[in-house]
Amino acid sequence: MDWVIKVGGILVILAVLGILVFIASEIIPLVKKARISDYQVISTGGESAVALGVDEWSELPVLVGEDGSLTFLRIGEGEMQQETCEPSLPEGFKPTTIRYLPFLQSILLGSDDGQVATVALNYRSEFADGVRTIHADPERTGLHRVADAGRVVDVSYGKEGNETGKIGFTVAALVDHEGTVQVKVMTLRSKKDLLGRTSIKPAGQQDLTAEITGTPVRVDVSQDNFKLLVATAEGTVFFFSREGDSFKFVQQFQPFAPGDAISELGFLNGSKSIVLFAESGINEAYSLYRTREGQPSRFGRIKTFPKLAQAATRLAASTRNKGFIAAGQNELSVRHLTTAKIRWAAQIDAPIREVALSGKFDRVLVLDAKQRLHMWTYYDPHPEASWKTFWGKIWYEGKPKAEYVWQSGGGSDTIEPKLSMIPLVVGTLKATLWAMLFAVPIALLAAIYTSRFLHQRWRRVVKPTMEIMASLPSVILGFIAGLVLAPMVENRVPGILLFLVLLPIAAVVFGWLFSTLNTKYQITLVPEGREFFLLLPVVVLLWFVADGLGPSLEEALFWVEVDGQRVADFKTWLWQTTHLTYDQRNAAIVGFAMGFAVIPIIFTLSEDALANVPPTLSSASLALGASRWQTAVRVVIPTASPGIFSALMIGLGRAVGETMIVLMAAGNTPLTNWNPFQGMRTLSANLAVELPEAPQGGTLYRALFMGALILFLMTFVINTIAELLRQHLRNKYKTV
Amino acid sequence: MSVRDYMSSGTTRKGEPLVWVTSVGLAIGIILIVSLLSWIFVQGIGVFYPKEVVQYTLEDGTRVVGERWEIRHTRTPQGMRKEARLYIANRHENGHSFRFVDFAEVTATDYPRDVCKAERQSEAFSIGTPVSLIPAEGEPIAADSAAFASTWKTVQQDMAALREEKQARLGVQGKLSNKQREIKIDLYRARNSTPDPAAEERLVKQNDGLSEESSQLKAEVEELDAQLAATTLRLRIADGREVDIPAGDIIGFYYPNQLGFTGRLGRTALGFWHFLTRNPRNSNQNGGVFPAIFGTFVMTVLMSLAVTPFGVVTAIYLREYARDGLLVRTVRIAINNLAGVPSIVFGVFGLGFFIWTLGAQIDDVFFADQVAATNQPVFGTGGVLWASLTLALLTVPVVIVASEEALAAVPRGMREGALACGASKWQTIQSVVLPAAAPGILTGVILAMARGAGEVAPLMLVGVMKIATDLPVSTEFPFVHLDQKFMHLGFHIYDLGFQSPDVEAAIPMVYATTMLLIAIVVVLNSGGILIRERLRRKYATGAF
Repeated sequence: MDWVIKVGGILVILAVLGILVFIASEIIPLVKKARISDYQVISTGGESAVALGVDEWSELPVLVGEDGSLTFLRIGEGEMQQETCEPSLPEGFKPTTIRYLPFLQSILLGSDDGQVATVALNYRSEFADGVRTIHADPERTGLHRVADAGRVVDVSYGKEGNETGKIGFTVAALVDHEGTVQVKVMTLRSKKDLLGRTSIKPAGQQDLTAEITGTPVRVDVSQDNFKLLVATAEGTVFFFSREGDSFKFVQQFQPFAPGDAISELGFLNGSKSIVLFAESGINEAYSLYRTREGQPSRFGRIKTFPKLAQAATRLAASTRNKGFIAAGQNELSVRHLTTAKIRWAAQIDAPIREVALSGKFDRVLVLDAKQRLHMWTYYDPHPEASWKTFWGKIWYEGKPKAEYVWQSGGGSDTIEPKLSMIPLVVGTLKATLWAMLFAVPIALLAAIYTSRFLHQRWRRVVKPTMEIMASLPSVILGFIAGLVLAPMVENRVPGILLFLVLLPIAAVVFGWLFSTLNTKYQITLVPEGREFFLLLPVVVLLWFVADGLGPSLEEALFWVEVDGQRVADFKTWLWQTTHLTYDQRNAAIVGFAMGFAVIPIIFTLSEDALANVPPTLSSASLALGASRWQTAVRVVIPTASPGIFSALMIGLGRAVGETMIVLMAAGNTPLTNWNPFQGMRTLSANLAVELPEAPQGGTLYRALFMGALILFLMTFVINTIAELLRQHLRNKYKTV
Repeated sequence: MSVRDYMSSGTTRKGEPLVWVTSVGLAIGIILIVSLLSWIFVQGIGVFYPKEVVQYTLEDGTRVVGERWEIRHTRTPQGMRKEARLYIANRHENGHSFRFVDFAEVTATDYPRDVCKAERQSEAFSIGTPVSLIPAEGEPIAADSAAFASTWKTVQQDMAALREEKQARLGVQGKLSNKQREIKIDLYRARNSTPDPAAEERLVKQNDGLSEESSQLKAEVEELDAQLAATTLRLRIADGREVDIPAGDIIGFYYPNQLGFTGRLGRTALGFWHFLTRNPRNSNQNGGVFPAIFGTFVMTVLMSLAVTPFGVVTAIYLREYARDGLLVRTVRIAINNLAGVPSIVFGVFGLGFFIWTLGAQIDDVFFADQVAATNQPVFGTGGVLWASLTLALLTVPVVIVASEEALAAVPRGMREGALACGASKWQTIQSVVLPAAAPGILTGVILAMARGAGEVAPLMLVGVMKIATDLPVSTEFPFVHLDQKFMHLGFHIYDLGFQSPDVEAAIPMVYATTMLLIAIVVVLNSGGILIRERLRRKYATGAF
């Protein structure tokens, strides 16, 4: 039996440590680098392919030849099979430029006579006997004449995913007509006819050449087809925005130094940011953002990536996150927008022709000049994670400046997840600060009074009452704070402020008046140790007085002018004079409710510490003629101070980790400020809000575990300090 | 120098005003706790106390009928405005349940005696004046006729019987669908994991039989539904519209303005009883909280079953076996630390470890077929087992600390006596030390239960549900369903108060649940302390 107990005891201790180890182990994958688990080089043996595409599962990549012919490579176990497919292109369509559209899994072809064709690859998976095979049925989905004549030198395509059924498309092309390059744009819409058939009809045709100075070399339409970029040989980018069925010029900018031309550019997933590469190898990201309300969004530089050795000529953006592949002469690297870091880099021994990234962000494909296909099985589940992601100021896309933001994005791939821990940590500290500001004075005063001045008989009643307060489930405090107090306080702020000012004054005045009374009356009216009973009605009365005077105070002090009239309104006054907003559910309310939870803890522990001061000390002090107040302040409190401090620490630990009260009464907006009249989101509330919805193993999931670890460590430090102090106190009393 | 002279000599009075300041702290603390508790109890009881139904006639001739829940004074640019917040019920007809009435617009205030309040199965309440009772066949009976009261009473009794019958059928149907689910799993096994055509055929046949039975039951339930809706009660609501309410939908009926004081008290008690014993309805906003009480109870009991052995074994190890040294001191600090770890962190651990790691593993090994057949995880999702284990971890320090204290309080003499009689160390602990320490240990367990019953944050991550009328303990094998999700009183408060579609209408229910939860926690806490006191006295005299 003995060993059963021993093993059991040790197991429980291990379990305690296990929690810490487990939570920490869930975070480790965040700091891991990208991993390559497989690398294949396949000789395609074909003619020179000019575009490369890949299916969702990376089992059937496709090479597009100069004539538009499609060669599917079946990669699997055993021999590689090739299936060549003739393009379903019209007679006389001679491709001059070919691009692969990863988000549509389509091929875009421009011809030598001003036409643009789209060919959908139509990948589909089939299951037979538990084995998945991928098939492709290429099919031409569109043929558009963008110019009457001329050679198409670059082409781009965008499609708006609109639920209402009206879907917009944009085809943009650079057409070389007798030596001058024109920018042709065509907008299309799909319409349903009366029989329910959808047909795609041109909605607008534009020539933007006149709006561009310089020679256009590159055109790019965003995936959502609302933005159009044209880059010129001189290194300028022109930005047009779609309004209705036409594009309007918005902005032109020169991303790199004069003379440094743009070698490649493209939109990232989400169509909010672009990455640009310079001939010199510089790599930057620009994003659309507003600097002021009401202005149109413009592109501005948000990130600078590490420089490439040679100019990047190929770019493949991930369709799953904000990552992309940049490929130069014979180097390639996977980069990520949020961190502006290189996730993985490789070099190959031949010039790179084309690159592709699989839809699941798990394969990197490269076609080199020797017509070999390089394929890396890429494993990088947390490309956006870095130290800076969680702790640094980051310039997120769509924002006018670098900020600390928590906004997990709600599982959408196109929204950049913003996972800064700073707003949450600040929120936690803010809630703790206001709670402690409220709780500490009350708890300490009550503890001093109860242990030193209150009559013994009442002490036996008061202590359990306060302990009942400690056992109140926090969900109840949260409910009262969020649904009862918050709306009630909203209209009574001046009265409450008045009460807070009047209360200590009233207590001192009351005490002074009383102590000047003749001792005879003092003793008969309020025997020592029962002052508190006399004060109970005073406090209640004072509350009603302050509450009643509140509106008058508001009229006297907190008024604003509205249409020439004086209107008493604290909230508007606060905004006008200090630019602080007032939320109904705010830090002050949380502080008050959390104070409820913290007061009994601090009270009980510090009362114990004060009561445990050896009576010899206080008796000696009283015998030497010190008053009871002097004895308390000069002798008892200093002796008990480590215990009191330890009580404060334990109260602090409770406040830091409190969840339900904050969840229910703080509004849960992740803000980074210290305004008591605004809400916040704490680490703990964040866990309660987001963890049930976070996909297991994702970056958000692990980021939330990091939040839990921070909470754990915060309370760990606080509690260890408290425990050490307590032990110190115990040793001290041994000698007294 | 007499005491009086000494007292008034000045030196002892130094700082006396400041003593008053310190007493403010205690005064505020006491006022806060007393006002909070009394507020909750007044509001909580008030939920069940039948209020009078008031009828205001406004200047424009419209009439507003409802229960006056609150009178507020709001400040407007035109001066103070006094308005009443009326619960007007009839949400289906009015589109909302509350209405504000400005007293300045009121021309007449009445308390009509013939207004009734009907509690509805499908929604909250209806308030109106009965016009007539329309039976399935025959002439309608007008409300002012003599036969109305008695007929309506019999109809209500009939309807209650029908509802009971329907409930019984639904119960059988639930059992059938459980059986069908099991057959589905067996069928999957017979088809995929261990191919067995004979069994497959048998199971398919069995399933067909059950389906037939089930559809027959469904037809019977529909028949009952038709009967429940056949008779209708016609009510005239405030704006003069007449509304027909199926009699079977009315589960409670009374005339609020005809009740005397004792009648009201009776209604209060009945309402509270229904609150304790019934299932919630109308997206939890009405009805009772029985599943939440039961879920809280089962979870707490499972938790204490898990926490007691662990806590006691650790305490015995620390107190009786471990040699005092750096290790033991570190362990003590660790345990004290564990007591201070935020509860949500335990929830995170429960979700990550119990559910995603351990539960997923259990599913893979033992329930692979079931998961594949039903496409739903068994232990790989939140459930009452994981919730109670998570809370057991959370409360283990409470039990360890209390048990250690209790073990330390056992007099040395008792141990030495046992050892001197030739008992081994374990025998001593088992037959002398543990019985003596039992009260302290029990107190620890009860305090842990009180903590566990009130904790919500970790449960939100490990298996608590908004609505789960299937109880975690039932008459069906294996009786205790450890994988079942459950309802919890604390979560009920949060969910109703913050996530329900009509928070304002849900607030009475929140107050009632809050009152109940406070009562449970306070009773558990003070019970623990009382038991400790009593047992301590008993052992104090019974020992040496």
